[in-house]
Formats: sequence, structure tokens, C-alpha cells
Amino acid sequence: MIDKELCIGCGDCLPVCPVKAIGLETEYAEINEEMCVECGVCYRAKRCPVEAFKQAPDLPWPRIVRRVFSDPNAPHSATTGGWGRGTAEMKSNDVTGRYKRGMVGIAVEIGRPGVGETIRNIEKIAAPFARLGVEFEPLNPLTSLMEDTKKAIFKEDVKNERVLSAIIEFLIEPSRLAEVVGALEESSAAATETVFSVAMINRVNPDGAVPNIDALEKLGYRASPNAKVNLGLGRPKAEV
Amino acid sequence: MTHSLHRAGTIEDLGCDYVIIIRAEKGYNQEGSAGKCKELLRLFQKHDAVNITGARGTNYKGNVLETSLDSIVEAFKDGNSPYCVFDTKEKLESFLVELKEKDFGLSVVVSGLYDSIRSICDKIGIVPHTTNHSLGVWGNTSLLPDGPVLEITTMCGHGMVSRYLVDDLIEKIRAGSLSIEKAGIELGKPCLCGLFNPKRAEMLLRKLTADGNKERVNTGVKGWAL
Repeated sequence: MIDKELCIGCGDCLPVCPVKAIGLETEYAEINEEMCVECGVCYRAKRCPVEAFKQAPDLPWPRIVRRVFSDPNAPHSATTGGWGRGTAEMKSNDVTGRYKRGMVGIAVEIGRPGVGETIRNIEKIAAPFARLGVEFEPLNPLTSLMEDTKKAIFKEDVKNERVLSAIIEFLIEPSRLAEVVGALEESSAAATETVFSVAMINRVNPDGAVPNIDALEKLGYRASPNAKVNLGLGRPKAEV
Repeated sequence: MTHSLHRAGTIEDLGCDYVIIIRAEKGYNQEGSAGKCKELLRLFQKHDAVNITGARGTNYKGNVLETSLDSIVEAFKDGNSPYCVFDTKEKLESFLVELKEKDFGLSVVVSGLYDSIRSICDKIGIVPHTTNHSLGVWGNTSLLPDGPVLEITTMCGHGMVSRYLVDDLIEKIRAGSLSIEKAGIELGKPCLCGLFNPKRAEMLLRKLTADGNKERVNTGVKGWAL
């Protein structure tokens, strides 16, 4: 929040907001509460010459949903208890064994990069995956906001909350890759007011080859040349 | 969390951008991991990482673009994850050689050009365990900034680096009131995880502020141009 008594209306704070939620009124800067995702960048930026930015220590439910999904420094204490928008996914797969050979992990991060979205519209983007009958990752904080995890229906009281991004995570068998790509196309058409970034997680074959990349290309899609690679140096080793 | 994935860019640009994430997992190897993590933070510095940090919540002290490594190390507790960025493949290789030798037993993730990471792994005898590939940006991609700006903002996977801040600093560089080096550091300050690469930002800012600059990367596609 901005202390209007302190604000001198210089406008130096405006560019730091990733979602352009700060506007300059005649005498002072003001935050558009509807657009604000409570990421805390304006407060941490320390750009304000008169320190007019304050961060409320606690936000009421459901406003707190914005902060825990958008501010990497805020834990999901009201839901999963973890940090961030998703789970540890493959970062510790060498010890957790969450992604096994013969399975593909899919992560759809809605709102990323840098656009944001409401939970109401996230529901529309998640629907095609629900229709595939996938199981949304139960430890994911977005799943915890669902009233019906089979249909990806979210709790009514959180639907108007806007977040910088939130991740849908699920596992599929490789034979369902074409179905998932179809669902991605459907979700893409539904994402008229936002974007989403998609990731595919694979347990590497014993010979070092990455499975499912060729299958993806046959479907007409390419993986990025850059990737996250778990080197397998963690212990104790998972049996996968 | 995929905060080091989905970094936009050409193969040339991505060749100077390698992120390291160390993870101690709760219930597996997290207890007593803070000491190893502190040693790893020093190791990042030894191999000349261009950005370092990792702790969250009350332990968060900032990244090395805004605070000292000593303060970051001092605050580290079990459960915090060290992060860093290297700006060359050579630095990445020298770090991984020593990392393998020291055998900390924690999960290590490298983000960057897969072929480069794979070639280093082959050279030093590591078989990668799991990969996470980006399948690109979908939806209404007309909402995204132009290529080079997107390359800068996607270096913070949490979206803390505003496209409007990039525009603002470009104006200041053009006006002569800010150096490109300082702008690169300034852009990295909002990135809590310290994954923002200020050296790559400098390179991109040089291109963005050069006369006759044209957009180079169309990131508004499903899948990524190889």
C-alpha cells in the first residue's frame, strides 16, 4: 500500500510493477487493487524517495491467495505450507523418485511470463486437462484451491483473486502425449487474456537419451534448446 | 517451481547463461544440510558466479547484487537452497568438476543449453537423471513484450523483473544518466532467487540501446525455434 500522506507523486515507482498496477493520480501514486497481485516488488524495490510503500504483514482470506502465489518470499501457510507456485517437481527427483521411467510430467504455468491471471480464468484454462481425467498433483498449492479436483472447479471465494502465475502439474503415460497437446491447444484458445508456459519432465533413459522429445516433434512441437537437468548427485538414491 | 526454466533467447544468448540450483529435500537429506549449502555458496563465488543467493522468508538477505555473500551465508538454515548463475560454459564446467569431487550428496540442477550441459556431463562422467524442457509460451502471446525485453524479464522466473523497468532503464541509458553495467545490476535486484544474469542483461541492453536495433526473437510461438 502507498501512504498518501508521504507520497510526493514523483512516479519513480511506476516502472517496477510487473503488472502495471501502479498509476499516477494528480498528486500521488495509487495502486489498482484489482490488478495488483501482491508480489511485493514495489515495497522491496526501495525506489521511493520518501519510503511511502508499506507492506501489510497479514492479508485477509482470500486476498492472501494473491501474495502466496505471486511473492516468492511468502509461504503457503494457509494451504500446502510450501513455498512458490508449484512443488519441487524434478529438482530433487534423484532422491524422491516422483518422476519414474515410463511416465511424463507436465507443468502448465498460467500467467507466466509476467502477465498474471485470475483464478476464475485459470479454471477455464485447466478445464481441458481435467476432461482428460488426469490427477492434478495433490501437493501443488493450486490444486489445494480446487473444490472439485476431478473437474478443476475452484472454490468460489478465490475466483476473483489475481496471481502473477500458478502451476497445474500432473503425470501422464507417454502414449497420452497427443491428447495432452490437444488439450494445450484448447487451453491456448481459452487463454485470451493471458499466456501460459508449458514444461515436460522426463526421467532420462539408462543410455542418457531423453525420451518423448522425438514423439513431441512428430506431433509438430519442439522442446526448447535449454532445459533444467537434474544431475543425479543427490542421496539417498530413489529406486526409479 | 520452474523458476529457471522458460528463459527466452537465441542459442547464442543462452550460451552465456547457466543456472545452478541445489536442493536438500525435506524427509530425505535436508537435516543438517545448511553447512554443506554454506560451503556451496562459497564454491559458487570461487568459480566466479555472476549472481548468488537462495534463502527465503526471514532468512532472506537479498542476492549478491544488493548485499554481501557473507550476509547470505550467515543467514542460511536447513531447508534453504543455494542458487547461482554462471555466464560461461567454462565456469560451469570448472564448478561441476569440483562439485562432483566434493560429493555433497544433495540434488543438483543445472539450467541452460541442454547440449552444452550434456557435453560437460559426458566429459566429467555424470549421467543426467531427469530433464525438464520448456514447450514454449501459449495463449495470447501478443501480450508479451518484444523479444530482447522478454529475454531480460524471463531471467527471473518468478516474474519480479518488470518489462516497464527495462523500458525505464533503457530511457535512462539513452539519456546518458545510467551506465549499461549499472542497469544490468539494477534489473537483477528484484529477482529474489538470484537467478538473474546481470552480464547477459548487459549484453541485451547493449543491443537494445544500439542504433538501428531490430527485434531478433519471436517468442510468440508454441515450441521454440531451434
